[in-house]
Amino acid sequence: MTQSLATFLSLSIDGVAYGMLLFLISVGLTVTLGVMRVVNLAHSAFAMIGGYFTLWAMQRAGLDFFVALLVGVIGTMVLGAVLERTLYRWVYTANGLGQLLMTIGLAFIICAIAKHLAGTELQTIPVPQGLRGTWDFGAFSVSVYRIFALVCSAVVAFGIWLGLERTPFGAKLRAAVDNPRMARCVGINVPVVFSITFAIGCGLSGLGGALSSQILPLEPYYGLKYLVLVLIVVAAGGLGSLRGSLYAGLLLGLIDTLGRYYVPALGAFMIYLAVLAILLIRPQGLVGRA
Amino acid sequence: MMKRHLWLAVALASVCQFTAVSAARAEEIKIGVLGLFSGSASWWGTEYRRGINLWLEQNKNKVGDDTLVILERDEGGVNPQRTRQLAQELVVRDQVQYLFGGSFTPNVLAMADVVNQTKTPLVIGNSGTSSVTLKSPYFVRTGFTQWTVSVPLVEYAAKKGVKNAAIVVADFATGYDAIDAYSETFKKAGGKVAVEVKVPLGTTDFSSYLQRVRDAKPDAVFMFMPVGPMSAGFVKAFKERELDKAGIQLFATTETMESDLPAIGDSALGTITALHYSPFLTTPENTAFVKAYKAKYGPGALPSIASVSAYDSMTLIAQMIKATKGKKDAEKAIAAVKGYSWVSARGPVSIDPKTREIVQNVYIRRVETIDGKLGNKPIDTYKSVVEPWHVGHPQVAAK
Repeated sequence: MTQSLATFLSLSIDGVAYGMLLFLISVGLTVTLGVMRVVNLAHSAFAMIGGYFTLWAMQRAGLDFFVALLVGVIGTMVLGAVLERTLYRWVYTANGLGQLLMTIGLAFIICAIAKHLAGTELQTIPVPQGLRGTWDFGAFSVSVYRIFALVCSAVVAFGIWLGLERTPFGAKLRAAVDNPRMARCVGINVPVVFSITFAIGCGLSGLGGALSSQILPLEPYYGLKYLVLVLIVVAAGGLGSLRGSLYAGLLLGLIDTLGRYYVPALGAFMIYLAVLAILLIRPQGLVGRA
Repeated sequence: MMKRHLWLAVALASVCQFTAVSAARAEEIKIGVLGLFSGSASWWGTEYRRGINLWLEQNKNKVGDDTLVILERDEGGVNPQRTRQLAQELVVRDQVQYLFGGSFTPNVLAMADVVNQTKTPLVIGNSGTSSVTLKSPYFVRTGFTQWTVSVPLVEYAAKKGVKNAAIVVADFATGYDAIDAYSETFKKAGGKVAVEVKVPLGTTDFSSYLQRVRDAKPDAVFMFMPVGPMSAGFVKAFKERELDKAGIQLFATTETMESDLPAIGDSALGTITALHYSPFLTTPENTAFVKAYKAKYGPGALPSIASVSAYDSMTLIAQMIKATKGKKDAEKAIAAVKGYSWVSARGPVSIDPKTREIVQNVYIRRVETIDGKLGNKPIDTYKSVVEPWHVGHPQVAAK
């Protein structure tokens, strides 16, 4: 295998793994945006919360990485459910602009609390020995952690699809979204269905935040800093489309990684150029509803 | 009768005036501090404040009879306009006699006009760009420049047999200083630069850049990234990608500061860095400094380049106040610190009379586990390094 082909292969694997992580941190927003029509700009703040919960479960409670990951996800879900029952009630009734303002405000508050509790230092979640290092296949090598993150994201993607399309809960949720009054009439408890969906969305972002801390390190401003990444994945994929987010995450991850190597002069702008191109050709996003 | 009262009044008034004159000697001297007290870089502000407060506590807030009053203002990030405005308000409205601060180069440059027009000495605590001190005769730097630490780093690496190196820097002003410093010094030492990689600010995924380094097959990487997510991310990614196992040694400067080491984790072990300070220096001055710092800020706290530079800046400002007897006289104040030398926690230092840059030791350090925690252990010393960019580029510096 020639050197340049090996380089291209390793870059592609990196790009796919990065793309899957992008998908993972934005999929929660896709779920809440797509099924509940809530523009939740505090979404990446929940990713940060998931990351901090996982970190603290490891540092302060001395838990194992995988247990801590579970604690982080469940903690974020519980917090999300509580906030949904209290604050987000008002967000639902607001119009689009109201939703934006309320949720970005919440993101600021969460950042301030995180700064107070965690300090401004950067943190990353220590990874167990087995996930460190690289696998070498002759001329090219891949990072073990990226493969792990890739597999996790793929499992999550499949799980969400299965949950929405193939379970009674998924059917209830789709019914509750399409016609809440009719859903109530047939005995679906719409508020509870929404709470659970919102909590799942938060849990997914929490998982994304914890898993991606190797690439996007935790800090109190995480929730605002990486909001742009989350939003462009959702926008390029098509608002609320699960498949769209997956395609957009993968495409942007690949373009970003390959662009930085082959067109270094453009560096970090490649991803924005790509988003621009996608939205010019398909204003509704890759899998948008026209 | 009237006449007697008048005499009394005159006598009383003159007494009052006399006391007023003598009281004027024991006045408040205001020092304006510009730091990053909020935002994602607020670590700098906290460390500045700690260094200043420690000095004030040890000197009971006084220089001679004069009491020092600190006025803090928040730069809030890379924000030249705001910093300029704050500096102006401090000097004009609040009547500060000295300014201290500046963390990022653009903010420091923005203060040059204010400083020049009002003749207010500014002691610069950080900013790694060498040319900054050319912008005003009232600038004195107690921090360091990227050149100061880069030159010893590359010389050390060359001495240890590095012949072919990659240079990886963040894509902004100080990064260009780093590229120039690294490549000029390395070529002079007979080395070959395999590849220069500029990484855009804000990058957190380094896979593509590390791939370029790997493809260039160097013996070593000289890196420079701004302290924070980029530097921590790069060191981590370097180890995660096992570039060290591919026989590439990582050389860095500020990137493994004690405050960031917990985030980098064990990946940092063995990284060689050059910097003008390490909390693990074993000189009596530093031992005392670290002890005092821990006593004030807790047993887990460690001083850093920022708190040391704030502390040293206070020493310097005190020297200016002594030389001017508390009066506002920028020429005299600056003249008094040119060539001034003292022993700091970072070792013996002095102010270069030509450039107003600090002359200081640069320590080659290796990241090791010290008392159960990661820290930078000094392993070699480059003594009294004179700011190399000014020395090596007299034509530019003279302009």
